[in-house]
Amino acid sequence: MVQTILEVNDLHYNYPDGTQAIKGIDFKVEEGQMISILGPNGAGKSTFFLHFNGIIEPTSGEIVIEGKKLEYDKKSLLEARTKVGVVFQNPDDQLFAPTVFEDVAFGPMNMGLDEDEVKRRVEEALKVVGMSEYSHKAPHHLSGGQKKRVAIAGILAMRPKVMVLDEPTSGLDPNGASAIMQLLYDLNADGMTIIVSTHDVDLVPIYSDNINVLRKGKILKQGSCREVFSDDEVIEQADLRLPWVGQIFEMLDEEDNITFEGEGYPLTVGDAYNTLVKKL
Amino acid sequence: MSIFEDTLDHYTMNNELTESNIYSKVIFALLAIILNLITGSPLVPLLIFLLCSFLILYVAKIPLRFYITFMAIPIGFAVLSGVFLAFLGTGEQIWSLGFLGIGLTKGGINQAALVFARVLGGVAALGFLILTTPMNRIFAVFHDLHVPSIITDLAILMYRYIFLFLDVTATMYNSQKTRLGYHNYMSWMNCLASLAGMVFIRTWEQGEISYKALASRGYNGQLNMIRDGDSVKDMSMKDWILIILFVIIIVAAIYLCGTTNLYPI
Repeated sequence: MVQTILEVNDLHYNYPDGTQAIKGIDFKVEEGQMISILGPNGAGKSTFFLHFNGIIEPTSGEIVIEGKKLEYDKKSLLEARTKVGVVFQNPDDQLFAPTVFEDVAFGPMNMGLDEDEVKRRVEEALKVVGMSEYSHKAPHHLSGGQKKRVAIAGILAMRPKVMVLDEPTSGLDPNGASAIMQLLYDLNADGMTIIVSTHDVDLVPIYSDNINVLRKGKILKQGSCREVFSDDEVIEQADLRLPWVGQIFEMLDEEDNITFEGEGYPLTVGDAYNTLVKKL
Repeated sequence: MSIFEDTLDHYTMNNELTESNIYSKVIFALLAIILNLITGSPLVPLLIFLLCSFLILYVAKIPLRFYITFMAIPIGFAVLSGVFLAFLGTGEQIWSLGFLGIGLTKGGINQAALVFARVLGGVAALGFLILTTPMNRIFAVFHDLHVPSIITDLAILMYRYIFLFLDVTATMYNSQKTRLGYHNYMSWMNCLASLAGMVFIRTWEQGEISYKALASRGYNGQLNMIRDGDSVKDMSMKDWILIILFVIIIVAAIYLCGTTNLYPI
């Protein structure tokens, strides 16, 4: 049976000045899912994410982690933060220690593990993200992509059940972005539940088939890639667009009345290739 | 990462002694400084200076050009204080300034030579530690010595964020220059003021978000860190022998030189 690992019920959050940031979100994550949250800048994605591990306390509503309602005392918070790991958008916000090794070790040390176990976990996490040889470097001597990997390793070393990443591909070159998404895909294949926020509509369909569109503090639509991207209204409202590949098929459909099998337009290069081969 | 290429921080992490035991370096540097202070003759500090410079330049392989820049400021101060000391001595004057009875005396010159040599020796000994050791190892020593964690925690965070804000400052400075900032005196004043103000606000915001990021990983008011340091027990026999040999040589030199100075007293 699939277990619900994270549940958000009727979440509301107002900024201290009274502005409504989150206006009633119901959200459910099952174990082993890879969920993408798409939305324009300022939709409240980052604020939403910080509720998952209790960094922000909601104005009303509740967070349920593994069937347990999140309380805001020290012990429950530590437990929540061990189960739900948040990777921040800007790795410079997260990396603080003089060396990569010490930074990745920070989370596991706070969990109260003994040093040998911590070292084992750090080495493993750095290996997974491919940064083993940099373990004694200082963060300011790394490139943007490398910092991102270290930030992810810092969360991985805590072995959370759910990993939440705020725009993991922002500011990376195309290869770096694909490599990070591939890494997340592999982690997900190994059983980790992953929630990603992104603007990159071209990358999303390749890696994830469960999309939530967030706009102005509300979830506008939830569904598979094809469902979401075939809803023109939602796409327009959320300042998104069809992936480039999809746009070709849209043009063929609208201007030349050439349609293909299947529901909606193909959204990835692989899909498009298969569809075209079948037709020709 | 070009702006960090020629910094102290870069060399501490990329020299031949980076990986050697931190305690060997700390014990050596401390002993050198103490011995440097108990000498009565400028010859011994000069010997320490030469030994440390040899270690820095030929063993750790720090470039000579960088070592000179590093030493220039303390030597500048030493020269200044040496000149004053030479004139402040008492006793028979060998050259008079002809003003308020101030002049060079033998005692003053001896004193100046001793102080100048001690500065050279002391800075070189400390420089040996600073130039060859990455900061995080030094933090580990602080931790082992039970320095209050509030001090080490602050030092660790400051060390990291200095580089972050250097980067922010450089970016803002370039963007101001791009828009013709700093073109005359008034503009220079205005631009510098707004740069300082903006960087201050950025540090404030950064503090807030860094706290959130730390809390996400279980931070509860104390940086619970694994220390990337070594232990005194791991010091090699070779290091101990070299340190003991160094102490014997310097003590012998102190004994032999006595109070030998430029002018015999």
